[in-house]
Amino acid sequence: MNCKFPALLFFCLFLVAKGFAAYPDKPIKIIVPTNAGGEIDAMARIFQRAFQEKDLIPVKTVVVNLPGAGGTVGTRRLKEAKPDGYTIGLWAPGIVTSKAMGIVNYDHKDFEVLGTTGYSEIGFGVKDDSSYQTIDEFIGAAKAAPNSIKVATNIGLPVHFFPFLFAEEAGIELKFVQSGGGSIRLASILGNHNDMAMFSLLAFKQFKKSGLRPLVILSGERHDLFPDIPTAKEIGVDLEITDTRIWLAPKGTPSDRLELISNAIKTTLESDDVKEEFISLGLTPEFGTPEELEVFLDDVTQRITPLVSKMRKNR
Amino acid sequence: MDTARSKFSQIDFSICAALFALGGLILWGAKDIPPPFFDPLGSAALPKVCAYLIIAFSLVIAARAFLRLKSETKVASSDDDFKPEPWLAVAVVLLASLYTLSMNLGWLGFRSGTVLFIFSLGAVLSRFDKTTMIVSGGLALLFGLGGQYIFTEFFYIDLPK
Amino acid sequence: MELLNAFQYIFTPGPFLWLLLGVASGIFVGAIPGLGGGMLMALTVPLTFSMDSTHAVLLLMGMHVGSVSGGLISAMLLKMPGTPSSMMSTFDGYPMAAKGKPGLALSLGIGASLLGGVVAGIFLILLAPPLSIWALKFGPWEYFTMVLMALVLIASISQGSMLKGLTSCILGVVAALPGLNDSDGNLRLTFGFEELDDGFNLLPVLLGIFVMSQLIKDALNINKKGTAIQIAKESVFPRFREWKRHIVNILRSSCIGTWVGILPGVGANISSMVSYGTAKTFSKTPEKFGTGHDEGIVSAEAANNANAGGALIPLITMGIPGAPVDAILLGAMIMHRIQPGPLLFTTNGDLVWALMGGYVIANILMFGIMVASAKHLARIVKINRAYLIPIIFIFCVIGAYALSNRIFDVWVVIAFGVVGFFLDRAKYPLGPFVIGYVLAGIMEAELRSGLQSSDGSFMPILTRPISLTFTIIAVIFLAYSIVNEWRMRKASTQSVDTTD
Repeated sequence: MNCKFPALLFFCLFLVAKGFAAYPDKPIKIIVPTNAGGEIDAMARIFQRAFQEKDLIPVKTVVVNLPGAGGTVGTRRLKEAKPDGYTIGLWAPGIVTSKAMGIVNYDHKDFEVLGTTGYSEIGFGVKDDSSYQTIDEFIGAAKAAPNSIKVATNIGLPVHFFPFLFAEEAGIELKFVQSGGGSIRLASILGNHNDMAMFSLLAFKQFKKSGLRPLVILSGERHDLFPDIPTAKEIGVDLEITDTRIWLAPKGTPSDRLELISNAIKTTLESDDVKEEFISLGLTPEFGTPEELEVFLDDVTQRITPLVSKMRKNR
Repeated sequence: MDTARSKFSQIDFSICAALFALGGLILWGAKDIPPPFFDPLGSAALPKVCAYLIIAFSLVIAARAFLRLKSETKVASSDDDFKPEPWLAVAVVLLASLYTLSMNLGWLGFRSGTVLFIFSLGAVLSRFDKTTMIVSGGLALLFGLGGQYIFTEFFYIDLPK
Repeated sequence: MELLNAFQYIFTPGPFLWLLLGVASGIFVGAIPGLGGGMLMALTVPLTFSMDSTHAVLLLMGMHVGSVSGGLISAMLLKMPGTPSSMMSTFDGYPMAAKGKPGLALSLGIGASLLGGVVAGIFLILLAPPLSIWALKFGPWEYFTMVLMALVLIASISQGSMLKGLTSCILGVVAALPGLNDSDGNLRLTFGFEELDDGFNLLPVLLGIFVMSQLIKDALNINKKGTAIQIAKESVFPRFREWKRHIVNILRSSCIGTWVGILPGVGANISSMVSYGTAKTFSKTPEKFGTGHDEGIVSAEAANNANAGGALIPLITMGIPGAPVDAILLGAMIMHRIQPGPLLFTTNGDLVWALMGGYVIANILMFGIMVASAKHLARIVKINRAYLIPIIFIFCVIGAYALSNRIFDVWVVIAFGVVGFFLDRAKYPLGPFVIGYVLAGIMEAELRSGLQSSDGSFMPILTRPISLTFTIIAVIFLAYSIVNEWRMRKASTQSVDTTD
């Protein structure tokens, strides 16, 4: 007893001292809930490289890909990670749709939000030779024959919810067909298996020559790339949504550590080469504060939660 | 010959029992699957079909095994020109599970766990042959330390610490 | 002309060495059960940041081609597929090797890999645009009926009891059931166990059923003396006479492999399943399949290499990755600020030609390396099992764990290993298990997508010409094999009980 006590004390002191050691003193992990090679993964790696090259974070950062179950394998791991600032994650609005679908019982409120970096503007599009030349024709056709226009989606994810929201607001009924990830969705539109799907504006630009054409965009105002394409608001549909990239950390991560990381993220985003890379990925290189995100995600949650039961009653 | 036959049927029967239980488990789990909403089949259709088929097949296989047990036909004897070592097979599963469990619960990291695992399984499989054990020890250090180094320092896999 | 320039470029020291490094490391990693090309490529992508973009793409391409081929070594010699795409090679490659002809098995596999790659390379260079447009015609119903046909064609893939084969197949289907279901976005059969949200993943299941179960079996049979497997004295270099006999099979299998490769979202293992089934159907001796038959080896290996080339076609022409591995290639391109898509030919023409030329040359390099090293690699079988068993398990642990950094996947390997071991003991064939596992997911998903789009009607199976063709083939073959089975039973009523 006598000799154990000082040792214990010493050990405690050691622990305390370790706790006071300057953060960060070991590699920081960035959890990406998709496979390597995806767009979110690419973005995480842009930051990883910038952190290192510009020496914004004094330690190594490591991108850890944890794909599976619509991203919930990764988000769950992030949520359960130690809130010590050594684990952060990068994800998308799927964080709220997974909860709405009942797959997980947590959403962005169960994390510390570091902020958002870049959003991509999105729109709905059809194949070039589709009979719907304008969004008005599209809505007209949907009204004339409800439940006949096929929308390629990935059920339970934003690409499903956003067109559904649009249909609700426009008072039309669409038929949703499960097809899968972005490239498979694109193939199903180009192959005439489905009529319409949601894509980012970058995809519309990139695959213009393959025969993809936007009908409507969901931004606040018209985009320079497609000056002729109206926004949803213009045609009287109250829907303004962008696809954001959200930085998260486990709940309870000390605020000074969060600040260090979010400062690094902000600084990265200000550099010209990163801006350029963002634009080539079709993302607007803007930093969004946690407060802004909160408003956006709360709004999305409020609007999609009642949809789930409606969606399921559809048939 | 007779024991070989009954032993084989024993495996057959226990697998049939396991299949039967599995079928039941799937049916029980399928009860909670919500009814179809996007397509007429729904998520419960395939599991239910599988469960019924498994149950039916397991009954038929059990019946056949039973008939064979009673009948005169001989089961071809296995090519036993060597002595099988069931305990070594058990040791592989046991040590592999222990190794995994120790990493799962954080008792051991990848490095120390791997060193211990390669060495001990090598020792058991060689039935504690001295030369093999020495080589095993070398391999254990090589793969434990080298593996940890390559995969964490070079490829950034977050191996259990 | 551009192609000649591309070849010239690849044969300059820089690009050539990267390609060679890629192929060699791909073969090495592919031959190790547990580690695969996809993992190697994903892990290498960040290391290529500072490289020239064409070099990086060539390196990754080499890894891809190498790993698809390297898997056959362990599949044939140890009955443990080194990569998922080489699982069909265990069916005939291992029995042939076990009969004392490992040299012939390897030579058939390596040769078929090369030719499959070259045929796909020709398609890639000459016909990429029209093929990728035609591939768009494949919708849910076409996928569904194609996979259905494949399933019927390989239905009686294994020897022994039909009933046990079917049971094994359904067990495989069951293994594919749990987890998040894409067709309605709900969890299924997870029993509240969160780790199961993503179900049982392909790699751990395959490692369990094929590799772990074999490790347990090897430990059980550790006293078995070296059997007949001896390293062949003859050259592994394939002989011309041998190839004349297989040329039709190779061409057919390569076309199937290329085609399945073009279809987005379908992996290399499915292409070798389809071509194996087709080869079996066209064969004069279908009953020999699964017992160490040369046609089986050739069809499987030609198809999986051709698949790699086929998958590049939509990637280059449309920016759509044909297989999961190509998504990594795509990601690497994006990170090097190359935007894939239809404009790639005009914006980065040199890179595209280098990529296509690199694919063909990678296959030739693969052939050279494999032929030169096959004899030495064949020694694997002679390694003391006391070393081999623990080390292979370690690789399975790393491979399974690296998927999503979770120990759960390692448990899956062990559990399916035990299941596979007992099924094998009770003479349930394991081939149908993985076939059921791999094909069930895609069949269910495509059927349900089809039903979503047809409002629940099954008619498109008959009204869409491509689906109808597949369905007719499936039905004819099913009828044929039932009649055949019945005839054989009648002919040998005596032996019914023993074959059971």
